[in-house]
Amino acid sequence: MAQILALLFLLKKLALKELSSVSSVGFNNFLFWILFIVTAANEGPKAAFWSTLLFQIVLLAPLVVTVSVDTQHRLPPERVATWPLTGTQRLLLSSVSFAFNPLFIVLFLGYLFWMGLAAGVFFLLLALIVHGAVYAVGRLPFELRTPAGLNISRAPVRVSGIAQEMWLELQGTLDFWVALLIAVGGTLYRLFGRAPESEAFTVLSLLVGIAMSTIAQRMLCLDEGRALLRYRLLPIAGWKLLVTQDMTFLIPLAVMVSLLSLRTGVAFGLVAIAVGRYPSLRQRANQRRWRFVGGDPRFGVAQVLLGGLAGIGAARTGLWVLAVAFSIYLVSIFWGEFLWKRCLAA
Amino acid sequence: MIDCRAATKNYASQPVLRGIDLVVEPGICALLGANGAGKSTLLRLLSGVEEPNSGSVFIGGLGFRDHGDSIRRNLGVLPEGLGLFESLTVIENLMAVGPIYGLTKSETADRAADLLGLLDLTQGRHTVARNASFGMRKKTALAMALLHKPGVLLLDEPFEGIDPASSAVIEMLLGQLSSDGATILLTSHILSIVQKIATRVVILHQGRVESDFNPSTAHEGIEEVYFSIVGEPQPEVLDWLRS
Repeated sequence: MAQILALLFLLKKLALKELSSVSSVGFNNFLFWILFIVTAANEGPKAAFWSTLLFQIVLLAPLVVTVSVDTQHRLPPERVATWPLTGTQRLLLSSVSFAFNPLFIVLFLGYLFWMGLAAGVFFLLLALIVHGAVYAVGRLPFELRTPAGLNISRAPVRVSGIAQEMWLELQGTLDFWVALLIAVGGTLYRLFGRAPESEAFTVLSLLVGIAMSTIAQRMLCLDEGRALLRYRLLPIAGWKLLVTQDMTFLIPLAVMVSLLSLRTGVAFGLVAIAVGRYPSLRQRANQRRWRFVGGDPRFGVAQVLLGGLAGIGAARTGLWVLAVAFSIYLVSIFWGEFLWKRCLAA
Repeated sequence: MIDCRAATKNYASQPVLRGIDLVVEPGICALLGANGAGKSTLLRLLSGVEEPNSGSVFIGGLGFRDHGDSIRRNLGVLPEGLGLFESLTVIENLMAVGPIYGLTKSETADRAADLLGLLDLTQGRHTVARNASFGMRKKTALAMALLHKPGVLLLDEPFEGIDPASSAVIEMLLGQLSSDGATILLTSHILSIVQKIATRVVILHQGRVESDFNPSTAHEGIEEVYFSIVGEPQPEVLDWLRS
């Protein structure tokens, strides 16, 4: 009993100290945008929940992965393995640690009291399934590694290694996978939907862009800022580094929106990168893998509004808006070079 | 040559370096000191990762502000945080940086294969950096520092956490580079290795250079000088640890 109490006390202390999962999703553009849509809808919260169920699942499943991964981070497996615990105690410990996560508690209570009992139970069931899956994957006898697919490091340019690193880090964010899910869903809708509406493609492209946009604020810190140290040591001009990272962000985005509205997605992406330039270079963030990227709300709102204007403008009025977005991007490169030099001197 | 003049560094108004004057000529210079003495901070200043609050740093007569790229091309650094690309494998880390230093892909591949072989990393070359053991990670970072055959090397604890065989190889590599005219400044807590390879020893204490001598001509051994500055260890057996 004393042992269990000691463990519970430890978990409580760790959970209170480490509110990182809350901060990491605190200012994610996409999550806030969806929350905004749900709260701004005229229908009641219960009806809003069921009418946006698909979005809820697309959002919640990765979010619960964040919570579950946090559990493992809080109790390092190599430490727990040395503790004198039975198998049942270990399972109990993992589950209690999961439930102790502040984000889990806030989400569960939010769903329960705001959207009703059914929504609360739905969230709980989804959380159990996802946590079980994460627990099982963590115990597989082999390692799951996202196949590099495109081995960018073989490309005949000097900075291909940096692009490869950025590409792999990009895949370690939940933002990328949510964007991909929306893009795949939208593309299927376009290809197989009965009389798909052309306006919907612009909106879907914007959603893909918004899902990716917070990444643009943390391009240099996606691995908790470890690579940043190496970038500072390398003899490479700041603008080359920035363009390499930008292209590694922009090309996947363009591929995702290629069958939706390419102009919209690219215009949004260019503006999102330009707006995200300052926080990317000047703000330090403890961004971890397998969670939503946490950004700065001021820049997040600017990314969504200005990027949205550019995206809709590019779709409706033509290529000149895309040219304007590209010009803004070019200015951000020059400014970024200046910030990079100051960053080195900091 | 490394030239550091009256460098100071504060963190949150806490002074870490209090006016360091240090000129390092070709050879192996070991920087010693207790934890928190300012060794890693000094290496960060010398590698251009941070700027001093006052004073200046020159590498080969050039300053980072105006000649950052030229300095970095001839500088190899093993930083405290290792600075690995965590998502890339050991070999991919090396292949990523070689071309940035102006090496061709094939040159990088050849040199990487040589270094990995020497440092006993060939078998683990496809291990993703974040999954590699501490020793493997450190050896990878060291290989990244050596890959472009720099004239100036700044190595933060290159021997700590390394197996004895690789440690001997690193000693040999540093000796070879040093005899080729390289300037090497390293930090270490392993005094026996320092005694063996260093041509000069600098001891930092509370952010100041307290001692600077050639170990081969000094009357006292490194350990005696070190403990006379840092303080003798006071071993005390805890009662509850006794059987």
